[in-house]
Amino acid sequence: MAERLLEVKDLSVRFSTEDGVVQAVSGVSFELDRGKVLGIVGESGSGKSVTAMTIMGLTRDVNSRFGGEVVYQGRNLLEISDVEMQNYRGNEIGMIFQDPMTSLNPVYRIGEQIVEAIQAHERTDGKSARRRAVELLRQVGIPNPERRVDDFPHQFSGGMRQRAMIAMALSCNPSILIADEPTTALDVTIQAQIVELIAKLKDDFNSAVIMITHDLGVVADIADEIIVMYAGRVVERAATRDLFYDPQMPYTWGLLGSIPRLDRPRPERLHSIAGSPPSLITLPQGCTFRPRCPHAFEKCETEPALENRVETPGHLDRCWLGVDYKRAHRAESIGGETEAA
Amino acid sequence: MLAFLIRRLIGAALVCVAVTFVVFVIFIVAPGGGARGTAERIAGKNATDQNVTNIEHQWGFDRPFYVQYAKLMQRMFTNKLVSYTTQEPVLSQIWQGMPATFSLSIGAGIIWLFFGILVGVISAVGAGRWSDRLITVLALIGISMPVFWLGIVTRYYFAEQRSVFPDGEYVSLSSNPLQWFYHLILPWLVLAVLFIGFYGRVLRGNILDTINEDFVRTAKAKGLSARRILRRHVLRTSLIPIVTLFGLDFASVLGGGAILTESVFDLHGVGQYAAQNINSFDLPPIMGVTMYGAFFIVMFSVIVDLFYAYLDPRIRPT
Repeated sequence: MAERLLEVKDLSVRFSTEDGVVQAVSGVSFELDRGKVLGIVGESGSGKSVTAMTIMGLTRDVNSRFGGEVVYQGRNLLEISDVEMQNYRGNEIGMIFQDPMTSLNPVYRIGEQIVEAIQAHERTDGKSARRRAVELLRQVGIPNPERRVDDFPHQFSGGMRQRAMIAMALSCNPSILIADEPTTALDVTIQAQIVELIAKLKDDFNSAVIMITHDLGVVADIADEIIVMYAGRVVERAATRDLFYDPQMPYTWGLLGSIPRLDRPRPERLHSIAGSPPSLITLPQGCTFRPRCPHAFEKCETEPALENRVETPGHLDRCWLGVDYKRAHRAESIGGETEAA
Repeated sequence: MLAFLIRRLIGAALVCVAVTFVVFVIFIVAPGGGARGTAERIAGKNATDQNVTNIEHQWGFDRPFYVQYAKLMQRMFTNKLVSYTTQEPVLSQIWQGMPATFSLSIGAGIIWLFFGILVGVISAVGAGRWSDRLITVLALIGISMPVFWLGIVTRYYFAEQRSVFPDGEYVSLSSNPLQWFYHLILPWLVLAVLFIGFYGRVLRGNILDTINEDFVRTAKAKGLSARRILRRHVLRTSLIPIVTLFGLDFASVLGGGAILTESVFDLHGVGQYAAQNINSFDLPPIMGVTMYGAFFIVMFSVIVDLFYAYLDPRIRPT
């Protein structure tokens, strides 16, 4: 039995803004075990980043309201003070962000920034902290780390900066690494390298990873389980293989259909999901995906619960359509033969 | 780095030369009036016909413009630029005014930089709270109060009515350090008030912009304390524009720009010297002070550039 690291229970996040209350996350639950990779997938504004930042306590603000629990090793992180939270950030949970160009402070050397992270949590002298920084840079694949440790961020390429961010996030050996769209700002050739690196380091550091992305292709290879989010809700949750071969939610079909694939006959046009995500201030009644869903019918005016509707246990979705209907019709959205499995 | 410094210094020297040429054009060529008219302007109000004729010849106003320029520069650097109203050499007068001007500038500069940063940080940290609003109001009052008015009012209340502070004048640092300090407190504060309000507002805006930067979020995600994030990550970046402002403001005050403060408190500095000669239409001193002031602005923009390179490695030459 794997060690349970994190348990998010019925998490909800609301922000008060001038335009009204934004319901950014509603009733999100998941668990994360040591050694596992969880993928969270969704469009911009689906609440995936807010979920991650809330775990880190980065969304705390006078205008934020939280519900539910984020339990890390028996403690609810939503309830502890901000000062106490500092001991968890970086130390127990590390995080890397979307844009490595702006995520490093331009005025400090790469090494200084890693040393700062180490010394925030450990009493070490500068010399050994620096040695660790060099070692970390070597582990993330920076050539000549003894020399590059004294470079400034602008002397690094985008991919190298993201590697440096990963080195920094792992510097205190956290149990969980949260990667918030780590490859979005990078060249396609670098993307795969970074994803592989994260997967490899997860094993080296014996940690767990939450990988947030809008691109199912990014998590296809490394995630053990995938959560699909839409309008702040989990709309489908399944083991990676099940999600790709037996997707139950029309929204997931849309996401799958929007990945260009080489292993299938090329469609005339890449599929896209019509319309745009709903405003999180005034959500549509019933199923939140209903206004964009080509399969919507009367029943969708009440919101379906996140339930197990297929034979595979643990595969949850929020859709009223019958399983047989879905298996018959999803190919139209995905644009290929999904029955391959 | 050395190459950068040398390049920058050569550039600065060229700018100084250009400034002297612009001064020459503005004061001598542009107003027109021919050789005689120009000489009359330089000679001042009470000059005799003979004086004007001498000046016309000595300054070369009857010769081509480059000769005129060369003769002006020659006078400038050999201390032969003379006020024909008072018969005092301009350079010596500026030299005499410098201790007062420097004392005023350096003291006021320290005060306004320190309190400007303090005010900016306090209001940014408590943005939206009552402390921020109070500081905003005070800063706007500070910016809006004219220096001459504030100077006269403080002088009236604290020096004439209550004698808390001495009533103007400058005491040299070497003759009596305590009196030097005592005499300068009011002028320092009066000059600093405007800048404190302004710097505080600028810094507040910069800090609030920087707080939303991605690298500040990264610093938070590392588990740094709020205080350390503010000091090392937010303030460091927010101060960069303040450095530019301070360099130029300080240079202009050092170069005699605090005309009003110096005059109100009768400090006999370079600014007051300029004010007196503007009143009496005495052109040679005004030319002298203009070039003197320009020299400081150019010099400090070089210093600001160097400091910039220290603060922001992205513009550091490699």
